[in-house]
Amino acid sequence: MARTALGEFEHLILLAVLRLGDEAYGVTIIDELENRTGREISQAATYIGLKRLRDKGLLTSHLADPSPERGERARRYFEVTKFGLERLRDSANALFSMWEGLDPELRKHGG
Amino acid sequence: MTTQLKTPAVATRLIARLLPPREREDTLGDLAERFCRHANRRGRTMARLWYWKQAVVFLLRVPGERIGQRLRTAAREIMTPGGPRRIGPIAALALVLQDVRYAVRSVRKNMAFTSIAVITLALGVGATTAVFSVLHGVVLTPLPYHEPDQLVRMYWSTVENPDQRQFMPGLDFLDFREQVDAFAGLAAMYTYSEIGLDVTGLGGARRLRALPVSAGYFEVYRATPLLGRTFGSEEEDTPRRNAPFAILSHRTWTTLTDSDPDIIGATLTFDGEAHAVLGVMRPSFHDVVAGDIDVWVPAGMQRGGRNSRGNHYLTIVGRLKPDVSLAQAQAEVDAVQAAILEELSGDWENTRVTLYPLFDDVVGPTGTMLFVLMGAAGLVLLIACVNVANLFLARSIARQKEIAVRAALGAGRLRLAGQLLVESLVIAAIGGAAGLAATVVGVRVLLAVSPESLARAEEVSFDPTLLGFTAAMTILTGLVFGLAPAWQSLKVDLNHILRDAGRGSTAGLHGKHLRGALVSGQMALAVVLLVGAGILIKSFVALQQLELGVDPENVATFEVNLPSARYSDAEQRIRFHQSFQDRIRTISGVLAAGAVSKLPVSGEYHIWGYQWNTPDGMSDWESIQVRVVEGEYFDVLGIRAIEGRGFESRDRLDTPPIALLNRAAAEFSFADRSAIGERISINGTPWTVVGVVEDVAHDHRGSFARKVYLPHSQYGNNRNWALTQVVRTESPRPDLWDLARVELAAIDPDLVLHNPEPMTTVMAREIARDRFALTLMGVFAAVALALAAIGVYGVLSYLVSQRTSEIGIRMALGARASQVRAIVLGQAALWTGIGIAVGLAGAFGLSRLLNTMVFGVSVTDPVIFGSVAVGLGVIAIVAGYVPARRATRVDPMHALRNE
Repeated sequence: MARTALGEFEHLILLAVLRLGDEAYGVTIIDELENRTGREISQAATYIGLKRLRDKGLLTSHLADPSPERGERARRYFEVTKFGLERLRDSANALFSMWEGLDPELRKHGG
Repeated sequence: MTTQLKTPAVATRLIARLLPPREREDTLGDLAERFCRHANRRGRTMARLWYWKQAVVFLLRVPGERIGQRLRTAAREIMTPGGPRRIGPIAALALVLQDVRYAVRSVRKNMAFTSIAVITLALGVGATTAVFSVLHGVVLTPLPYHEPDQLVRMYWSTVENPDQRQFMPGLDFLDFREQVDAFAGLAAMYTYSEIGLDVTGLGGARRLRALPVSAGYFEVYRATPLLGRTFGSEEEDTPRRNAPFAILSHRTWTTLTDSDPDIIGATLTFDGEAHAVLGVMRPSFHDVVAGDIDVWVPAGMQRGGRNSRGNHYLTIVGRLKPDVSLAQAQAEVDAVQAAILEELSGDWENTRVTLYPLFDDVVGPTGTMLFVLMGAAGLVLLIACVNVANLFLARSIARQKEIAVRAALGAGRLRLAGQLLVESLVIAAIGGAAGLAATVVGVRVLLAVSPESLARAEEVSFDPTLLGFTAAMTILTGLVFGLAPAWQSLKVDLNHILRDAGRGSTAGLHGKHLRGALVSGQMALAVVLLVGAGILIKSFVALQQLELGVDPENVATFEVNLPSARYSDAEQRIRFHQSFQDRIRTISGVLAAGAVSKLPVSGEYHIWGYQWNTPDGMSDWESIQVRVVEGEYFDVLGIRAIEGRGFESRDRLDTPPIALLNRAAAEFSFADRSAIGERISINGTPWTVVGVVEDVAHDHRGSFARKVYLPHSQYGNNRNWALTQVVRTESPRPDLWDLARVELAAIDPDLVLHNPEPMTTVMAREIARDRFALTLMGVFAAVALALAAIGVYGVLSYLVSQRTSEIGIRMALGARASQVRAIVLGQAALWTGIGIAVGLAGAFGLSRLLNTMVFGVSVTDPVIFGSVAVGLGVIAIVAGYVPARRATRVDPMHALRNE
C-alpha cells in the first residue's frame, strides 16, 4: 500500500506523544501542543488526528483505569509505533535537508 | 484538590453520539478533565462556553471526517489494479469527487472562460428568476382564499363605456343580494380612501385603516375569525353611530391590545368613540381588494339615505354557488338589473352591471405589464443560454486535441465524458450559486423599486422552484453544448484529430456555422428586447413631458381626519378647516393654503351625475367627478381660472349654492355659450356656476374628465368630507408638516396629521408603474446588448485564431490588411444582418403586446425600429473590429511555420 502523506498536524501530534513518553494521553497531548505551538487546539481536531494516526499504524493506545476527577472515565494513553518512528525520522530528514543552508536567508527576511 | 463538576449535559450527549462507542469513554474523560480545569481558572460560565465550543467543533468535523475516511478507502480500492469490478455508491461518489477536484483545477486554469460563463449564468438565472418570482407571487398564485375561482367582482358601467368599472349604488346591491340566486354570498365594502379611524391615548395618536363592510363580507372570502365572531345582519342594520362595533385584524390585535385574550366584548376607542370588539381575524386573512386593513366596522346597509339608486360608492365582491357558471350568474344579474331600470326613469337605460372574475380584476393591468416583463426575462434567459452554448462549444472544440490525446493514452470514453460532464457541472454550479445570489438581490431590488400599485406585492417571495427551473435550463444548455462536441470527438478517428488539431483548421465548418447561427439568434433576441425598451422609454418620456395642469413644486399635502363623534356638525367642520388654514397661512414662507376631497393626478373619484338645461328648454344628464374644496386650493396647485370668480369667504352655508366647472364640463354642457350664471343640479341641489377653471388631469396619462368644484363652506353638511390639505410655500419646506402639527395641536390636540407627502411624491406614485416597467426593460435590454456584444466578439476572436494560418497564407500571397479585415468583418456583418432582420420581424409581431402599456407612441414606431437596427449593427461591427484588427497583425512567417 502506498504511503499516504503525513500532515503537519499529525506530525506535531506524533512529536508531542514522543515528548510526553508515558504521560501521553488526550489532555497532556493538547497541553503540550498548545504550549509549544502557541495555538489553541480543539479536542475534536486532536481526536481526529489521533484516530488517523492509529488507523495508519503510527500510534498504538491502551486504556488506563478510570479516575474520579474525570467523572470515572478511563484515560487512553498513546505510544508511537516503530513504523511511526520511521515515518517521523523520514520526514525529519526530508525537512532537515530542505532546511539546510536556508537558515541565514530566513533570518534575514524574518528580522 | 479539584472537585468533580458536571459537564453540560446536552453538549456531552451530542459529542457522545458523534463518537464510536469504543472511543467515547476516554474522549469524554479528556473533555471533562479540561472542563474542570477551565472552570477553576476562568469560572463556570466560561468553562461551559468553552465546552459548547468544543461540541460544535466535534459536530462540524467528525461526521465529515468519517465520510472522508470511507471515500478515501473506496478510491484506493478502485485505483488498485484488479479492484472491485462493480462500483458501489460510495466508490462512485469517490470517483465524482476526484473528477470535481480535476474540474476545479481546470476551471481555475481558465479564469477568463470561467468568469464569462459564470457572469452569463448569473445574469441569466438571476434576472429571470427574480422577475418570475414577482410574477409568481402576483399573477400565477391563485387568490389566498378557499375556492378562489368562485369569487367575482361586480361593477356598474354604461353601455357606451363598458370598461368604466364604477362603484355600485347601495340600493342596487341590496336588490342583487336578495334576488340573485346564483350567489352563495354577496358583500359590500366602502373602500373610499377617506375611511380611517384615529386611535388616541395609546402612546400617541395614530391612524388605522378602517373598512366598513356589509354582513357576509368575511363569509364571501370564507374567512373565519380567530376569536369571537364576524358581522351579522343586526350590526349591518344598526345605525353605526349608536352602536359601533369593530373586528380587529390580527396585527391590530397584537400591536394595539398586546394580544389580549379577553378582547372580545371589550371596548376600544376609535375616533373618540367606544367600539365593542366582536372578533379578531386570523393572521392569514388579507383582503386583496381593499388592501391592508387594520379594523373592520359594519357598514350601514339600511335602504334609503346614502343607499340610493344614484349614489355609487360600494365595492362589491361575491361568491358564486359551486355549480353556477359566471355566465349563469351574469344572466340572473341582468334580469334583476332590468327590473331596477324599469323602476327608474329612461335616463338610466344605458347602464349595466357586470361580473368579473375577482382574479382578473385584482391582477388587471399589472398582469399585462408583468407578462411582458416575464417575456423579456425569458428572452434574457435565452440569450444567456445562447452565450453559454457558444462558450462551451468553443471550449470543447478547442479541447478536442486534449481529449483525443487522453483517449489515445487509454482513458475510457465513459470516464472522459464523465469528466467533461463534471467540469461543465462545476462551472454551472458556480454560475448557479452566483445566479442564486443575483436572484435574492434581484427580488429585493424589484420589490424596492416596484410601485405601490403592484397588486399583491406583499405575497411575493423568492421562489426556489423557479430558481431550480432557470438554473436547470442554463445548466442544461451548458451541458448539451459542452458535451456534444466532446462526445463527437471521441467517436471520430483519433489519428485524424491528433494530426489536424495542431493546425487548427478543422475546428469544423460544422462548428463555425452553428456558432454563426447562435450569434444571429442572439442578435435577433437582442433586437426584440431593445425595441421593447425603446418603445417604453419613448412612452415614458412622453408621459414625463405631459402637461397635467398642476404645478406640484413646493406643495405639501397631508390629511386630518375629523372624528364624526366630536365634529358631527357641518359648522364645526367648516370652522375647523377655515381656522386651521388661517393658522397655516401665518407660518412664514407659506404662500397659500387650501384643501380638496381628492388630489389631482391620483385617480377618479366621486363620479356623480349632474343635470343642466339645454337652450331648447330641455334638460340633459351626464356623469361628472365631484371635488369639494376649501380655501385657496386653486392657487396652491396653480390651477388657472378661465372666467368668472372663485370661491370666497362670502360663500357660506346660508348663501345660494355656487359651483365651478372645469373647462371640459363647461364646453360639454355649454358649448355655445358662457357657463357663468347657468344652473346645474347635483344630488337634487341646484348650483349656480360662477366660474370656469382649467382642466386638471386625474391620472398621469393626462386624462381630463368633466369636473365640478363645490365649496366645502357650502357643502360641508353633505357628509364629513375627508379633505386633503394642500399648502404652497415659497421654497421647499421639509419642516412644514411639523409646524402644521403645532398649529393643529393648538386647535385640537387629539387630531392626527397623517400621510404627509410632497405633491411631487403623490404625482410620482402614479407614474411609478411605468417607471418600474421601464427600469426592468432597460436592465434587460442592457444585459441583452452586453451579452450579444460578448457573443459576437467571442465568436469572431475564436474564428480569427482558428484561421490564423489561412490568413497568414493570404497575406503571404499579397492580401492587403484591409482585405483581411473585410473578410472577418464581412462574416460579422452577415451574421448580424441575419439576426437583426429576424429580430425586427419578431419585434414587429411582439410589440403589440405593449399596446396597453404605452402612451403617446406607436408600438411600431419606425424611428425606434430603425435606430435599434443601426445601433446593434454598429455595436456588432465594433465588437468584430478588435478580432479583425488582430487578424491583420498575423505574421505570415509565423503562421506558416506553425503549419
